[in-house]
Amino acid sequence: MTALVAAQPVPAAGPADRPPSVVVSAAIRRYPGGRSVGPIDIAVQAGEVLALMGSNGAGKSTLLRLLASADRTDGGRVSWWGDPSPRRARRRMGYAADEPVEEMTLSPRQATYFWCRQWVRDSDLARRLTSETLDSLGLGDRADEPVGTLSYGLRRRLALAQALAHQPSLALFDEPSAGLDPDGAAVVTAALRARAAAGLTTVVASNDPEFVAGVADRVAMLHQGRCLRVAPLPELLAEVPRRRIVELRVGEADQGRNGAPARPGSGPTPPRGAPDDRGPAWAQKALTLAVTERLASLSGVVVLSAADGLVVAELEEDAALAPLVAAADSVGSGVRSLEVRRPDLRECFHALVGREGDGSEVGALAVLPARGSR
Amino acid sequence: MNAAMPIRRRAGRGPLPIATPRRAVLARMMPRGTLGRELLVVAARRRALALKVGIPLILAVPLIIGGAPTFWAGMLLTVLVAMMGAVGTAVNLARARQSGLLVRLALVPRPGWRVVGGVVGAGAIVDLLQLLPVIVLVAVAGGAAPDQWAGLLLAVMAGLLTGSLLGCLVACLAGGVGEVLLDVCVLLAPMLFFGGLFTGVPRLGWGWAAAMIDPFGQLGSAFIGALGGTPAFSPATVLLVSAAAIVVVLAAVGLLSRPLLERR
Repeated sequence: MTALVAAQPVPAAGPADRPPSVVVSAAIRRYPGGRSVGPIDIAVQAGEVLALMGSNGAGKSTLLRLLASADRTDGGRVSWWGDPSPRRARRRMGYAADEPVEEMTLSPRQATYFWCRQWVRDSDLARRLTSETLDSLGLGDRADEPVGTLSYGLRRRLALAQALAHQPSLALFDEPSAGLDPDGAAVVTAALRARAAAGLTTVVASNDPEFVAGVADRVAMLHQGRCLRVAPLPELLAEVPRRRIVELRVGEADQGRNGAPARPGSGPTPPRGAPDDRGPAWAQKALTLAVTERLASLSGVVVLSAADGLVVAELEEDAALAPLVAAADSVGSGVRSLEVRRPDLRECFHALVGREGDGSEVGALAVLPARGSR
Repeated sequence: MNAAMPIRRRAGRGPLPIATPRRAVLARMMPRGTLGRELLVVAARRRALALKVGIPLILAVPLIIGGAPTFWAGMLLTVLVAMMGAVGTAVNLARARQSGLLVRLALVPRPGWRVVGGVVGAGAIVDLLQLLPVIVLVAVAGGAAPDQWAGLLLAVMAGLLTGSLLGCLVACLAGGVGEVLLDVCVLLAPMLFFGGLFTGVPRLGWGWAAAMIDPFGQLGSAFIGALGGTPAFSPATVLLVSAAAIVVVLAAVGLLSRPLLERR
């Protein structure tokens, strides 16, 4: 696909200087039960990759569906290339929802060709676009096997191929990196960056900070149905206080599913003084809680999240790590690993939500995946 | 992939389907629209297709060989056709909505009637194919005249499409696949009743008029005629009304297509 999109005229100006592909003005979507998303104002510039980030239920998928004209607003408006008609906009759009939709008996080539043909009248061109898109997303050598034989990750890539094959001016993807391995995420990132280089617009809704950092020109932070901030990634990161993020893993490493130990008797050690007859899952929670309380009592340490043996804390830029580790060890946890990193989009989101002052920041942050958990 | 499909293994890769001539032919076919896509999907499910053809025969063979009264046999076969058309379409569309396929189809820059018409048309074609053995069996066993053959074929097509229209309506109204069967029965029962299938067609009055314009009334009559009984309507009437019903139903499916695609 790289060769294909490179053949299209590339505007000389950067995304910020180009006219918007889609503008959302005070858009509201109301749901039964009183929940609503919006009002949201946002403009997506031509040739940019905009990422929508936020906790579950923040309104990312709703906003994406409004942008794709797959849903109607209950107030405000959405216009595409200055035109409010969804019917005309659909001629230039591609959309992939968060679940792949395909008949298992078709081949990826047939499935992609079908969607490509809905936009491309010329059958030869549609065949070529189909092959090039499948190749660019690493599906070329499996293109003629039944979809049912593909793994979930490959079917996710197929869903993207179906939305991209006709080279839409505006492509919208819900959680495009979900279920992808690191190689798959890199392939998808490369494909979306190639689109941006060719002046084509992409909007992704994602909770994956690493994927977003690799692909997005700008990030829109959503929380409780409202857009808190839209800005380029470096600008967002610059707003986060210069602190260090420490990720401490405590307790036993060898945990099976649902908190059960993989070997009999290999469950985590409960904190000192705690009864240990309520099962390993309870012991792990109790241990995590004990470490959290101990770290929170230290000056200059803010615990950001704690779950299943992973405690994430924020430290002053020049604070020493030794007291932190000693404090965690003092409850008998056995620090298994320790990772120090700079604040990323997770902390940025945390800072923005904290500024809103609704008190739900830790819970909101906890749903964002930890580094390397993809 | 069909679980019964033979597989081979190659080094470093998982099992792959053997490239049988049939699969190779199917793999070369590229679906241009929803009609082609749906037919391709059905063609790849060989076992399901065999079952689909077999099930109507399981019902029809004992009726015909056992010499059931033509009125009851005609009624039962008409109900079978109506249920196949309505339930098949409604379940198919309800599943498509649940899987998100309808949302994506709503976003393609094609007229709604072409998109939904393809799905409904493919369903009707497959249903007609699976009913062909039954139609042949009925017409041969009853010694049907050529005009009765033609009338029966057209009436079955009209019945299937009318069922599909009801299926579209149900798919618009029902919340999920589970509701479909109940909703289909609620819509079908009065149509079958007014078609005179349970009580016979009255000789005059509004009952006769209702049965006359009801495609299921015509279909019941065509079955009775082809089985050697005394039909309520002549083969010419069956042909004419069924053809008109097909046109009306296709237009109605076209009108319903956008609401069906846009409903969330």
